[in-house]
Amino acid sequence: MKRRDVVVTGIGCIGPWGIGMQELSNALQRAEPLSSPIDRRSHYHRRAGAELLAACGPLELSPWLDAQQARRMSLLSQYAVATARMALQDAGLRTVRSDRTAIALATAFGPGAFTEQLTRQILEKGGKAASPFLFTDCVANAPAGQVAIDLGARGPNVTICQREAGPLLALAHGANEVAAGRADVCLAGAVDEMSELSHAILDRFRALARGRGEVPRPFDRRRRGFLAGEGATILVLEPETDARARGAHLLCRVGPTVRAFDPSAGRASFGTGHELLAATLRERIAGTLCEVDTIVSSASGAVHGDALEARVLRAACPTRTNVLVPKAVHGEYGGGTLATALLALRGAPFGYPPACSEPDEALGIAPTSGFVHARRVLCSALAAGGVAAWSVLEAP
Amino acid sequence: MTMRVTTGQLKAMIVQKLNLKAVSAESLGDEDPLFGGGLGLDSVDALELVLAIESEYGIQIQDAEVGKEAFASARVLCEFINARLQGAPAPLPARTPREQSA
Amino acid sequence: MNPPAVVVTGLGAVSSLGVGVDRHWQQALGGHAGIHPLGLFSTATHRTAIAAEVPDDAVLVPGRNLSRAERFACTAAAEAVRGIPNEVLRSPRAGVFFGSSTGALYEAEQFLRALLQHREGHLAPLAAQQNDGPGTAVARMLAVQGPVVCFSTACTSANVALSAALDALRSGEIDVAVAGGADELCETTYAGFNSLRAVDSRPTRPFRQSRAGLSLGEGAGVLLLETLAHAQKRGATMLCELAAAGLSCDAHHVSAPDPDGAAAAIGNALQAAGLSPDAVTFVNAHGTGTTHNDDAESKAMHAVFGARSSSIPVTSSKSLVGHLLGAAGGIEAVFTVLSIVHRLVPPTAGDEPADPALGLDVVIGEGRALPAQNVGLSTNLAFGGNNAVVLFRSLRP
Repeated sequence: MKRRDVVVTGIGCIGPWGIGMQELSNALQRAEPLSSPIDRRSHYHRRAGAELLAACGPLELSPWLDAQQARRMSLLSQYAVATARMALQDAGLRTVRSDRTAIALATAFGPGAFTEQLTRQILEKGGKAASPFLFTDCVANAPAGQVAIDLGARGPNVTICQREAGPLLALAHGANEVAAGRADVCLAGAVDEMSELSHAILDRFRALARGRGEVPRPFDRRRRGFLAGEGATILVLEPETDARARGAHLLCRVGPTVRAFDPSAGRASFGTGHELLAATLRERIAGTLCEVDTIVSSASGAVHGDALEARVLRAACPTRTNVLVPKAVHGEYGGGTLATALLALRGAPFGYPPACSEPDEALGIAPTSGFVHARRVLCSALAAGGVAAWSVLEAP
Repeated sequence: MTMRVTTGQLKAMIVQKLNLKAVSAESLGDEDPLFGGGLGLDSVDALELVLAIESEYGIQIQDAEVGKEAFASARVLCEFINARLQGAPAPLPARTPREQSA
Repeated sequence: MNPPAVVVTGLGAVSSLGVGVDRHWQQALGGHAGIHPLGLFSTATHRTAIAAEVPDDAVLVPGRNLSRAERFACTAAAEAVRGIPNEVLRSPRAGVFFGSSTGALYEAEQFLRALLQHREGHLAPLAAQQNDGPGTAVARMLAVQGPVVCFSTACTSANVALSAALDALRSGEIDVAVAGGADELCETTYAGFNSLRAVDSRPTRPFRQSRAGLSLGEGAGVLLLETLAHAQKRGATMLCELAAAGLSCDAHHVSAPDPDGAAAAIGNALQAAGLSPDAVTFVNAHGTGTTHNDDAESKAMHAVFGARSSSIPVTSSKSLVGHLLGAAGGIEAVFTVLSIVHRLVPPTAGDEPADPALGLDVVIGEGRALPAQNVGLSTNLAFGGNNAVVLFRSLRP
C-alpha cells in the first residue's frame, strides 16, 4: 500500500495552564512559569532542593469524563481519557471505527501516584495489602488502555516511555500507523503526572532548577535545571485524503520525524554528541530543514541539555528561525511542546520569558517573542540518557 | 462481645472502597445484585472488596469464595461476614477458579 | 515494490534458566522449569513464595549502579551481537527497540523503603525508573546512533518493540536493530498479580486442567535483526526471518483478556505476512497458566485456525522461565527462533496432559518435530487489552 500523507485534525491539551489551546496561548503570551509549591506531605524531599513544579491542579474534566467511569482510574488515565475526548471533539469526530483506530501515547513516569501508593501498601503493610485497583491501573500503558476502552478503539495500541523525547516518538509512531494504512485514526500524544516521589527523585539527580523560587531559564546563562510539569496533549491523526473528504479542518500536516541517539550521554544526563546529532538531522531531512521557520525547542533550563540543544540547532538549522521555548512556561513533560507547535502554526502571540533575559552567549540562542505564524515548525526533543527526536509539522 | 456488621455499614464501605460515584449507600438496596447488575462491578472490584473486608473485619476469605454466592447482595454478604465473625465453621461450597466471572 | 525482508542474525537470553541461548535451549528440550522459592525478597507477607528468579551465580554484565533489568538487558544484548562487528552498530543506521515494565522498580522499592525509614537509599539505579532504562542502557553499551525507542505495554512490551524494529528496518531508516525486552522481579508486581489471585502457589501449568495461575519471572530476551541485503552483504549467519507483526487492542477490560482481540492480532500478523492461517506450523503461546488467559487464548486460536487448532503444536515457554512481563516477548521470540532453527517445538514443562476442554495440541513431555519449512507465531496478551503477535518463518530456500 502506498504511504499516505498524514494530517492533524484535532487537539486536546491540558496542563498547568488549565484546559485547551486558548488557555495555553494566554500563558505563553504572559510567558511566566506556571509553577506552584511542591507537596511535601510525604517528606520525600531533601532540604534546599527544588521547591516548585508546574502542576495541573484541580481541573474540571467532567464535560469529557464522568465520575462513574473514572472511579477506578489513576489520575493519569483520567487525563488521557478526557484529553482524547477533547481531541476528537476538536476534530469533529463523534465516533471512530473501532478496528481502524490506533492509540500511541508516551509517558515519562506512568501513573506515578498509583504506583507509589501500591508500593507503599506493600512495604508498610505487607504483600497481601496490595490493592487490585491500584495494580490494574498503575502500569505505564493503563492510560492508553483506558482510552481504548472508552472509545472502543481496537487498533494497534502502544505506550512509549522515553522521557523527554516520548511525545515526538509517539507522534512519529502514530503517524506511521496511519501512513502505513494500519489505522485511519490515531490518537497520538503524551500524558504525564508529576507525583511527589517522582519530583523528589528528579531533584536528587540535580535535574531540577533548585533554590528559593528558582525558575526554569531555557538558554539563559543563569539556568540551573528544569521545571517538572505534568499534563496531557493528544492529537488526532488521519490520512489527509480522509480528512479532506469529510470536510475536516486541517490543523497541520505531519512531516518526518528524525530519531537519533547520542551514546556519550550518561544514564540520566545529556552527552556532548551535538556534531553527531546535527549530522544525522541534516542527513535525514536536509531539504526540509532549509524551510523551517520556527523551532519549538526542547530547551528547558537543563544546564547541559540546553547546551546540547543549542549546538545541534545552530549546526543544523537556518539562522533566521523563530525559537520558542515553551518549557519556560509549562515546564517539562506532558507534551506541551506539541500543543505549542500547533499554536505557532495557527498563529499566536508569544511573550518573552523574563527568566530568559540573559541568554548564554556561549549558546547564542535567544527566544523569539511577538506574533508567530509558522509555516513549517521543527519540534525538537532531547532526552536525558541520549535519545533525540525532531518532528516537522507544516501548515496544511 | 462479637462484632456485628449492619447492612448500612457494609454498604457504606462498598461505596467508599469501590469509589462508586453514581450510587450512595442509602440508594443501594440490601437485595440489589452487587455483581451482574446495574452497578457495573467486575472481578477486580470483587477482589478489592475482599481486601477491604479482610482488613476491616479481620476475617479470612478463601479464594474459592470470591465468587458470586457470598457476594450476591449486600444482605447476603453481610450475613456471610457476620457468620464468620461468630466463628462459623464451613465456608460456602467451593467453586473452582475457572468458574469465577470475568 | 515489496518491503525488504528482515532476518534474525543473533540471539541473547537471560532468565531463571541461566545465561545464554544454548543453555536455554538445552533446558527447554528437557522441559526443565526454573521456578523456585524466591530469594530476592522475603515472601513472608505475600500470598505465594515461588518465582523464576535469575540465579545468583549468573554471570552478568557488571554494573553496580545499573538496575537488575538493565544488567539482564545488556547481558542478553551482548550475546545477541557477538557475531556483528562493533562498528556496524556505531552508526545512525543501527537502532534499539526495547520493552520493559519494571525498569528499575526493585531498586525503587529499596529506595522508597529507605525513605520511609528516613534514610537515603542507593539512588543511582533509579535513573532507569522510567522503563526506558534497559533499552537505553543497551543503546549506550552498543553506542548506536540511530533510533532508540522503549515501549512499556506490560506483557506485550517486547513484541511491540519487535514490531517497531521491523517497521524501522523495512522503511529503510536503519539496516540493523537490536530488539527485545528486559524486566526484573519486584515486590510491587509480585504482590500486584497476587492481589488479582493470578499467581499459582505451585509452578505454573499452562493449558492444564489443574492450571491455577502464573509464575512470575525475570530476565531478558534480545534479537539482532537486519535487512536481508545487509546480512547477505556481510556474510552473516541468518537464523530465520521476522516476517510480520500484528497488534490489536481488546478495548474491553483493564486486566481480563478478550478472545476477539487476540484473534484480531493473530489475523493482523497473518495478513501482514500475506499468509493464511493454514500456513502456521506452531505457536509459542502467551500461555500464562491463568484461567482467564488460557481460556481466552485457546478461544482465539479456535477462531483463527478452526478445526486445525487441535493439531497445531502449541507450547508455553512460561512453563520454563515464568512470565517475564515486559521481557516475555523477547525471551519467547528466542525460543520461537530456536524452534525454527532446530525444527523442534520444546515441551510445555510438566507431566500432566493438556486440558481436553481447550482443544489444543499442547506439546508435552517430548519436543515435537517440525517440518522443513515453518511459520511460527509468538503471541502475547497484556493488561489494558493490549495484544501483540510476531510471526517468524524459516528462511526461504
